[in-house]
Amino acid sequence: MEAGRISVGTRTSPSYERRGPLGSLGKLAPAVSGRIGQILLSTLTVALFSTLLIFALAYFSPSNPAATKLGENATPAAIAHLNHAMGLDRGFFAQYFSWIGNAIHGDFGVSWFTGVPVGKSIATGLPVDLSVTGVALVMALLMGIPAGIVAGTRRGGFLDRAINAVSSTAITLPVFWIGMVLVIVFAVKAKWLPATGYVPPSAGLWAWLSHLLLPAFALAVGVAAVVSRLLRNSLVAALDENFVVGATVRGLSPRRILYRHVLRNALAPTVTIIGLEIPQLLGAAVVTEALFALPGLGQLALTAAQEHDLPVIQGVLLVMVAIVLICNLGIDALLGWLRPATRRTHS
Amino acid sequence: MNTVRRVFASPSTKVAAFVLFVVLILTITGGLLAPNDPLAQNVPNHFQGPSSGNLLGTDYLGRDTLSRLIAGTRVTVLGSLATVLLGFLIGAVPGILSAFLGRTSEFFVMRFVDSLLTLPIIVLAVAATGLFSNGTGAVVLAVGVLLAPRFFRIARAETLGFASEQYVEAAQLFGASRFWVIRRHIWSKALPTLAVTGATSLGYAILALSSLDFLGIGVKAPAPSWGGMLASDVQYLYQDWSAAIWPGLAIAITVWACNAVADGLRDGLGAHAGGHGETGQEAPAHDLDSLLTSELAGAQGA
Amino acid sequence: MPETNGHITNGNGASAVAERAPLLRVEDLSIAVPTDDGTRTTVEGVSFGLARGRSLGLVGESGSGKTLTCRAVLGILPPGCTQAGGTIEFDGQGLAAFDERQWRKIRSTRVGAVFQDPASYLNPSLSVGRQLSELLRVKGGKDRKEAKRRAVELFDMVGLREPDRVYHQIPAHLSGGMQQRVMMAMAISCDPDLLIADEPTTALDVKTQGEILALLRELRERLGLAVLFVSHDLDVIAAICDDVCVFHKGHVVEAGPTMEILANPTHSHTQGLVAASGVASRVQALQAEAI
Repeated sequence: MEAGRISVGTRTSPSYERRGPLGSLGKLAPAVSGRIGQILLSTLTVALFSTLLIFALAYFSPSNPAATKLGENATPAAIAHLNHAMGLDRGFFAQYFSWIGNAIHGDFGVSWFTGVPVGKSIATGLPVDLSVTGVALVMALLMGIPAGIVAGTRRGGFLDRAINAVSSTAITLPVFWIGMVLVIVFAVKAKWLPATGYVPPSAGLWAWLSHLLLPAFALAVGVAAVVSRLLRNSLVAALDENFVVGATVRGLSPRRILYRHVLRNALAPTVTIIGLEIPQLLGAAVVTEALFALPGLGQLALTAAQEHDLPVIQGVLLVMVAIVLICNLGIDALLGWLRPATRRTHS
Repeated sequence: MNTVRRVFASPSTKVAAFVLFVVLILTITGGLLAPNDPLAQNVPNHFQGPSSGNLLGTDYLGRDTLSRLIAGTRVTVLGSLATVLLGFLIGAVPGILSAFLGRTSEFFVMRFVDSLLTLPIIVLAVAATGLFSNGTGAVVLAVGVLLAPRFFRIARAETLGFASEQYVEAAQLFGASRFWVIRRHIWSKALPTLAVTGATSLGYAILALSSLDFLGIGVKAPAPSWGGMLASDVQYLYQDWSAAIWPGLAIAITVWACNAVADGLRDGLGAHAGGHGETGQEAPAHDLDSLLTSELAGAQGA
Repeated sequence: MPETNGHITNGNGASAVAERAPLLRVEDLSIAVPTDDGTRTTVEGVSFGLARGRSLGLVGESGSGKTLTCRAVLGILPPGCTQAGGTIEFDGQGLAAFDERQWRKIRSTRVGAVFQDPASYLNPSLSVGRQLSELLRVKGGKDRKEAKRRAVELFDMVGLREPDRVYHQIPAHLSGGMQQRVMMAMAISCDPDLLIADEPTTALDVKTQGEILALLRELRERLGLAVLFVSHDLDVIAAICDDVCVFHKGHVVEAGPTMEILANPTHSHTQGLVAASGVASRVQALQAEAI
């Protein structure tokens, strides 16, 4: 019986097991059929776990909201009263569901310190994060994809080695250090770009972009390095595949073969990694926001952390998880389009 | 012996091993090897360039940059080692065991691991300091927990791969217990790949912890840490930017060394992560798991 | 047909194979492959000719050089391998001097090819219909709509049932036999003169193998294709080829009309192949019938 259970490898080999960040689980779900249904089921399950985790962190946090709010001289009775009024004396799940239910309706609670609704603070900070990470992602792709193509199509050549050297250096550099160097070069020395602050796009596209270029570039360097290395490796692998010979024998031009056929197949791992990079990017954005004094969610979280302001911390985490999950859905759709089949069937 | 030689075959791995050796010595000795007192202020002597007294110059309080760098090694490296160890402990063994789960529980376990992957490490660490204690402990815990999914997924993938191999099946036919098979075969086979994951994760952890020190979370001033030094330097970029170079360089070189040793381990131990055998560079990384080990390495200075 | 004598290492017998003006002429071909220390010549002094509308089989065990020869004709020698000597002429043009553009000009429109393991020669991520209509647009000069219509027509022609449905399938979702039919459709899509088939039936089961061979014969007759057919299997060669060249260790050891070679193999290696395949008795029976 033991022996029967252990031969798990025959089910699926690990390489084909998942496709994207949320994967086609493909296994559970006799009830849910179809790729889209399965992805939605996964996403919802992941969302449930993530939000439970975020809530549990706050729930088991030793910081007592009532005591924090009332100050040090509060009587235990007053604390108990306030706890009851805030609904904090209810059970774990009761509190969780009212929290998540409110959050879905846009109500993230009120900051214990400033009294400002958390939703409002997030609404001001979120555009900053989306701007800086969005611009960073675009920059990373604009640098990483061409670099990966150049390196992958010139395997072993000078450019390949040069790009490899640059990218393996780039992944060792801390974001904030890259940011500092950028500030030194472009703001302190050359005075071309502003070193700090954020301007909404409504104030002018260039004003908006000019404040984002340095922080976004600092964020983009690492991602670009990862993208170019990965794309280079999968291009090299894909170029060795028979379908390239097949396309050559059919008389398609090398250019068409590269861009219409090889790249499509080689991009899948890159797209997968971008999905994994998004949470990292959001995290790194916190650091750049501190460096470039951008009033984003990271600054909000930092201040909240210093003040043990639970609703704000929870709200920020929740929004970040939501962004990641939405991006993952997009990534899954993109993967489905790039590689309609899992590799399962024809191997 | 042969394996060791293969791991350190390339010159870059040798250099990297030497770098890590030096870092290790500095970690063990703490501030002992520092030429000056890292906390001693000498305000009139601030922002000095390199000189015989202060090899890397002084900071805004006139403290010796080299001494602070050396003294800051311990807290950065120890913290990073602790996170990697934590990630390994709570990731690797459950990862192996997860390969033997039934379908439904497997689904939920995998989704739980995925849910950890949706949390940005830096943000969770910031949150943890806000929700719990404001100190290194919370930071190490948060980063360690979020490193665990890597170890989990790698261990799981390796187990799924090995469990289907014939000698493992044969062992079961002869009535070997599951535990014995894991200990005897799978564990020893998965270790090289896990070692690679450990090395890349260490580089990643150094970047993450430095970022948090930079944010003022974790190590408290005036105690020196690499990230914390940069945080104070950044205030004075307009007066003197050269001081900001050194801590960044220390971080970059250490992270590079971790990645280079990971490459050496991968080639020398025949680990699977991110490539197969000799040419780690050439191999395609199709699956998420090898992506996690090979390419996420310090991907973000997160 | 006179008896070919003993060891034909320089392909003397091959000239007899193509008396008419050959579409494809290979003369004294040598191919060098890279080894740890320098290169080694694995194909040496191979000559044969193939006339329009005829079919020629290259037979031999794996490593005998037949596939390398066929790849040299297609201009897709594996990286590092080089044509060390000899000439390959297609319709009077020397292929050795061809540059990238000249190759592209004859591919698909003059020379089509099918291979063993057809799925791997197709883009795994695009529907087979899209790949075929791309070819029809790029090489056949058709517009989008016309290409699609023609693609479905070709799928029908190669015996794929429900060609409209097949059009939208990716290769992995088709069976091996269907994949090979798709490859055939692509190979003949731009009306080539020559079809090169490198072990096209090897990966298939016996029944499908027979169907694919029947299809190949039918297409050949219908379109007047010349076929260069590579196989290790004499039975398959006997079923489809007018002439045959027997490869052994990089040389052509025997060449001539298939029936004669099979009936009277002179080289010991050919004799071995014939004996192993069990095709000889059937050939003799056929010949007896013919007389």
